[in-house]
Amino acid sequence: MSETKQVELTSKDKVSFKVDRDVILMSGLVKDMLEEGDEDETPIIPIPNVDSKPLQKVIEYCQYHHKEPAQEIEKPLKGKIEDVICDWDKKFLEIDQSLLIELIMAANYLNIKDLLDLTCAKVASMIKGKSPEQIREMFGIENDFTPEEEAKIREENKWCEEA
Amino acid sequence: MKRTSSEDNSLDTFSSSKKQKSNQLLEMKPLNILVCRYDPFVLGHVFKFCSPMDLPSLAVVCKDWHDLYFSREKIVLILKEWVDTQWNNKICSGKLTWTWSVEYNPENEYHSLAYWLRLLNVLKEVNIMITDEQGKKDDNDEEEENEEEHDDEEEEQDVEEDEEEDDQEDEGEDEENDEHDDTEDLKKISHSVEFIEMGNTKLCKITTSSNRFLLVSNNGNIIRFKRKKKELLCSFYGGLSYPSFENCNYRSDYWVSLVPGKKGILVLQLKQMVKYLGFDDEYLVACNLIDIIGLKKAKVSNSKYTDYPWDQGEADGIIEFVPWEIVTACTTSDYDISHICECLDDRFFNSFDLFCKLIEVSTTMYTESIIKNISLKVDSEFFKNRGLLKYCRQERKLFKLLDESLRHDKEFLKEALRVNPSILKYLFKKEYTDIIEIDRELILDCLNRLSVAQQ
Repeated sequence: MSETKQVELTSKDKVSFKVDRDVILMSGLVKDMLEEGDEDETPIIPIPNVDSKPLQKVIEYCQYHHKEPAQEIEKPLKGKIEDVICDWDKKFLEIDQSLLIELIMAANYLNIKDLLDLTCAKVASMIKGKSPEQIREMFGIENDFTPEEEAKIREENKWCEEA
Repeated sequence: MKRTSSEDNSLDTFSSSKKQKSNQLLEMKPLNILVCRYDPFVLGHVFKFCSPMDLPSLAVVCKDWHDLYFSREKIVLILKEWVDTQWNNKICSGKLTWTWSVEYNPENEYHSLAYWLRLLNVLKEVNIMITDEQGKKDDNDEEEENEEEHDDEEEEQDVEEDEEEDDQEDEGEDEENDEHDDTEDLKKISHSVEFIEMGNTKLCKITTSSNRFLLVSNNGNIIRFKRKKKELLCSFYGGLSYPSFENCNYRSDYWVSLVPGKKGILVLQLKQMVKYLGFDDEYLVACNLIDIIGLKKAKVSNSKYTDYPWDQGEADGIIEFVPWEIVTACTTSDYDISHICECLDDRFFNSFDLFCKLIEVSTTMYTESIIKNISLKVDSEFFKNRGLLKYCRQERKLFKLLDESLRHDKEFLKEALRVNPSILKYLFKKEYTDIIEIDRELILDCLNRLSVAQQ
């Protein structure tokens, strides 16, 4: 009986995770690195941009969706994100905003499209129905429009109501 | 994730400016990292999941967001990408290569926006982009509609058949039975997609329920249909032609009855639909369209389709784009015109050109009630426009509409008198005497013209 090949990932804060090679191939970045590298028994891949906490979540995601491929989230989002994702993903997204942002960055860096879609869709869901002021507050952005400029753009975007 | 070099440059500039602006807020808001510390391309990816309804709010959050993600062109591209993906995945499903015939046109941004947004709404309507909860609600609505329809059918059994035109009388009963069978069949079909190719135009017929379907042309135009009792109703939902009054001046939520019993109107209706869907205006195409929409009891001969005299004589070229409800109203004495304003798109009432064209039709048809009805809703400035005077030549009663303006503008009045001296008689009414000083010379001139005209 052949043993499953494994890969060792080392996070930014020097924590190591052993993961099945097939599982972590969901990451485009790791896949490319493994194709380029030697056929080591257990290759060690540094992930210098991702801390251990989000990396652990990424591995958790890959382990589940390696067996249960994620369904594509349609753009634009239909209602709230909870309406379109599976129960496991709902549970997976029960995290604080800091970790969510770290996950987005990790998914982007590791090139895991489904995870990036899931986390970005979660942020889009948080934006849904919010006023410009609420969105500024949410993202910590200053309003640099003059009232006239803002009114002009609002007027330009009346198409949305009309159509 | 791939980016172009131009995107890279603009994103870098954006990123550095944001870093400065939001530095103080960094520690407080985790999401701010996406704004100022991280790859703005990811933020763009977030926005691709946002609802179209949120785009206007997002566009005024800050200047950088507007310029980078929510300029008109960017929004059009987002909408286009949504439609393309949804349409090809859900509607076509690899059955047909579907290419929209219209690309983004920077000279007419509004056109492009409305076009893609309406297509997106179609996808929503065909139950592809709605939540389960909404879907259940729609199903309930449909059930209620079906129940209503059933009640109507029962009522109809006690009611005598409406008068049919000559050649349809014989076939009436059989066709009625056919219609019932077809309705049963459609109930089984529910949400089917059918592609029809005619020449360069591709047409997609999407049946969304037992009594509703819609036609989408690859020119982007959309017509929705629904059956109610024995009627087939349609609404010009817009698409590419929506911002163009001459191609589509109906309100998109107004349902027009297709009238198989009145051949002239039917010809006009078919011609407008054929043109609207982007087909060549040919008799055979119209016949195909009758089959596609399942318009029962509709028979139009080649000669009637080609030569029906709607657009002849004084009406030449005018009636073609006028809503057929108005044509019906102009030609049918007992037609209820109270809903004419409801059928016209709101923006119509701000279009002086279209208002003039309607007056032209109206004067041709010797019907003043339409103008009177519409004049209550149009911009009052229209009646100060000298462009209306030429219609006084044919329609004296138009003078009444201009009355208020003429009473306070002597120059305008003089011009009106020159166009139609017969309106002089109104000036003898008391209300004018204190307001306008009439030149003796002008009156004589008018009287001379009048006597010449009478001779």
